[in-house]
Amino acid sequence: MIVKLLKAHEDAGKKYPAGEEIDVNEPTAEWLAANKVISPLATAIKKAPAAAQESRNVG
Amino acid sequence: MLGKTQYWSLQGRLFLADRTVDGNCGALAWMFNVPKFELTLKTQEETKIESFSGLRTQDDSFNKSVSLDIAVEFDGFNPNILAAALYGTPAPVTSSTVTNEVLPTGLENGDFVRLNHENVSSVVLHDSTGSPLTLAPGTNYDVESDFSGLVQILDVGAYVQPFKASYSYGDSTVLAMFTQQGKERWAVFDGINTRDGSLVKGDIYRMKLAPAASMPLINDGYGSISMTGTCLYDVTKSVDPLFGGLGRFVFPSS
Repeated sequence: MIVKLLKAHEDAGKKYPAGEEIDVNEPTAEWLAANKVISPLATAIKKAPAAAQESRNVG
Repeated sequence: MLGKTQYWSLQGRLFLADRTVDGNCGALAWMFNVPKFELTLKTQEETKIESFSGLRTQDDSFNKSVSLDIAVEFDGFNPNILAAALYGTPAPVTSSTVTNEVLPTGLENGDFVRLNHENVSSVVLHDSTGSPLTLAPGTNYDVESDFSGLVQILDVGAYVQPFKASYSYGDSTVLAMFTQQGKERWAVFDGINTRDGSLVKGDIYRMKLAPAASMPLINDGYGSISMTGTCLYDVTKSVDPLFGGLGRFVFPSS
């Protein structure tokens, strides 16, 4: 899932500035939301990755 | 009469500063408790033995060199003092967050791992399965040292490695060793004669300290760092009779 950072953050060894959108897995998104690096999950997720989108459509 | 002669036993505060580009004293930092600050004046003398008297007596001498050496002992432990001792530069680290920091592979129960940052909190470990599973704190791992960022693996279980860490880290100051050449510093000694309470000030314009010969990191009692150095000649001050080329002392008028 793609989330928008509220503050500078480092993911998988790469540094991102505030405002950047990054693609992370669900546990990571949960940790980011819990630590206020992104907005609460309900509003933080910008869009689903393509694979997840497809499975949702199929389901 | 230049001043009243008196017995003396000095104490005082030692301050060090970077020199400004024009050779003056920059912002000073107090070096905390300094139980030893000692100047040693050395001269190298060449003598002439005469060859006309039949006795080969000393007929003349001159100083080939004059040097002012320094021995100092620092009781304090902080980034500024260590910067002088280890030729480092203190650098601030601002608090931030990390996710998916990959830990070493092949971890076994009881192993310790080092996170890439210090002063950590909210540490969570995930494994590397397709839909990552979360390891249980206190069961699978334990944060052994928050400040040093050390995590102990208690039980790897059936989780897929490498594990990945997510955590916050707080502000800190880093001092990387030997990141600069030996620096010339301006030293100010704010002294007091404990015998009678009279004051004295000392200035050394170009003090250059060698790296600390040793820095004991395990101490039975109080720790300290001993350093030696030398005072270099400051040509920008030498023509001023109130300064001279190496340093000066200032006394109150009696």
